[in-house]
Amino acid sequence: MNDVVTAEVKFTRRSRGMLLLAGLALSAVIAFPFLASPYALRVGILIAYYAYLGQAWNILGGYAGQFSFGHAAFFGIGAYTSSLLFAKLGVTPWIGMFAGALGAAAMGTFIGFLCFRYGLRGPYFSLATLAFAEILRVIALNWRAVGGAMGVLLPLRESFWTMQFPEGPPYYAIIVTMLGGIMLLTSFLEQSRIGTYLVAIRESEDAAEALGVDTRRYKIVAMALSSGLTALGGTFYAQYFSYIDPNLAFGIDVSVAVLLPVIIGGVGSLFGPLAGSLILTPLGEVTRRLLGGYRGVHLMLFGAILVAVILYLPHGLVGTFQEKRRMGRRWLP
Amino acid sequence: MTILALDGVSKSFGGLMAVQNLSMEVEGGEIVGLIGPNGAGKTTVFNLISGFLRPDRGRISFKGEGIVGLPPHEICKRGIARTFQIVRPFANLPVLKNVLVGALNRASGTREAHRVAAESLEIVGLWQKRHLLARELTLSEQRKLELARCLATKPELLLLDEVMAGLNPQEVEEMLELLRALHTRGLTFILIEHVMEAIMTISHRVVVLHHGEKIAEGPPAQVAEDPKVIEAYLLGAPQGVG
Repeated sequence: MNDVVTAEVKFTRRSRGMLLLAGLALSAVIAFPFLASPYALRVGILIAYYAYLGQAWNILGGYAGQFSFGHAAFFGIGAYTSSLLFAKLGVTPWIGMFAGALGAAAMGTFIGFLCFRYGLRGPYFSLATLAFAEILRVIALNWRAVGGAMGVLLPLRESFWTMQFPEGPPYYAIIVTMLGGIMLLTSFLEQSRIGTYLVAIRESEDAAEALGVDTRRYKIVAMALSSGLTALGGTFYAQYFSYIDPNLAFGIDVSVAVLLPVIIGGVGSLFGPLAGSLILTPLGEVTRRLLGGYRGVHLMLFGAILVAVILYLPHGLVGTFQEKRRMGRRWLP
Repeated sequence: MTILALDGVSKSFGGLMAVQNLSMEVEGGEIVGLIGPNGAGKTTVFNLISGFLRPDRGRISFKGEGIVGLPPHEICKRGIARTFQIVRPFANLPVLKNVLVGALNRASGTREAHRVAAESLEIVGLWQKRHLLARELTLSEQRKLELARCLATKPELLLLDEVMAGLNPQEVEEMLELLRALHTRGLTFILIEHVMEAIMTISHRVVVLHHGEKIAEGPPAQVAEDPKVIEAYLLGAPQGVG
C-alpha cells in the first residue's frame, strides 16, 4: 500500500516535471522569433522543416518499417502542384498545398498498391520507391508545361493569401505549427489501432497477418498518410524559397534529407526526427559557413555521423536514451 | 459438431509432395494431436488451414464454410488462430502491446482491446511482465506470449505448432495445465508436438502423418501400437540431412 502511494507521488512529481519542461520548451519556441537574428531564425525554420519532413517519413519508414528511399516523389508532387496552381492559375497555396497532399497521397496509394501487391519487402521496396521518384524527376525535366529544366519560379506577391512574406517569422509560425501538428498526429497514432498495427507489421508481417491484421491494407494506409504529409512539406519549401526545379523537388538529395534526421534521432520514435534535425541542421549550417568554399563538405560530415550512429547507437539518439531509461527501471513494478 | 474439415487436400512444392490427399475432421471441443517424423508435412497442414499457403487440390471448411483462398487475416477473423513453430514475437514491442495487436481483432476500440489483452495475459501468467519487451522474455515465456496473442483474437480453433519444444519438463507441465484450462473454456485445439509424452496425455485423438500422407488416426493408446506408426518412426525417418 505504502509502495503504491510513493509510486504515485513519484509519478505526479515526474509528470509535473515533464509539464514544466514542456511549458518551458513551448515558451522558448514561441519567444524564439522575437529574439533571434534573421540568420538564427532561418536555422530555426530549417530545423523545424527537416523535423517535419522526417516525421512524415517516420510514419511509413519508422513505424510501419517500410523503408522508402523515394519520398522525393511525394515532396515533389506537393511542391509542383501548389506552385503550378499558384503560378499559372493564381490559386492560393493554402488550397494548393492540400491539392498537392491529395495528389501525393493518391500516388502513394498507387505505388504502395503495386509494391505490396507483388510482395516487395525491404530493399526491394526501397529501390522501387527510388525508381518512382526518378521517373517523376525525368518527367518533370522533360515536360515543358511544368517548366522543364527551368523549373517554376513563383511570382512574388507578398501577402498572407499568397503565403509569401518579407521576413522569417510568418514562415516560422507556419512550419512550427506543421511540426506541432504532425507530432500530435503521430502521438495519437501511437495509441490507435492503426499505429499498433503498423509497428506490428514492422516487427513481423506474418505474425501480424496471423493475428487478423490486413497487412497490405495498413501498409497502404501508412503510405498514403506519409506521402500526403510529405507533400505539405514540399509546398512549404516552394513558398519559402520561391523556386523549384526537377532536381530540387524530385532529386535523390530530397529522399536522403528526409530520412537522415530520423535515422540519427531514432527510427520509429516520436521525438527522433526532431532530435536528429536539432543536431544535423545547425551542424550543416556551421560547416557550410566555415568551409563554404568546399561544396558538399557537410554531406561528408553527415555521412561520418551516420556511420558512427549506426555503429554505436543503432536505435538513434532518442531510442538509445529510452532504452537506457527503461533498463534502469526494469526491475521496478 | 464438426468445426474443421479437410477433404482431399494436397500441396506440393516443386516435385515434393508435402501433403497428399489429406482428409480429416475436427469436432468442436476436441484436442487433436498431429504427429509424424520430421518433414512429414505437419506445419504445411497448419499453413494450409491458416491461409498462409493455398492447397493445390481439396477443400478446407471451417464451421461449414469453405476457407480456401481467404487471406490469413480473414481466416483469423473467422475464428482460427495459430502459433508459429519458430516463435515470432513482435520483438521490440512491450509484451502488452504484442497482445493488444491480437485483441484488436475483435475489439471495437482500444479501451476494450486493453481489457481483452489484460485478460489474456492473466490467463497465461504474463501480466507481471507486461512492460518488458518481448525479446527480453525467455523462450518458454515467448511461447506463452504467442498463446496469449492468439487467445486475444478470441478464436474458436487454435493451431499450436510445437508450443512445448525447448521447454523443460516443469514448463511442459505448466503448458499442459494451461491448455487443459483453456479446453474447459470450450476451445478446440490441433497440436503439433514432438514431446510425445505430452501429446499422448492431452490429445483425445491423434493423426499421424508420414511423407505427407495420413497413415494412422485414433486414440493415442491405439495409435502408439499401430505397426505402421512404429515403422514410420523407427525406420521411415529420413537419415542424415533431415
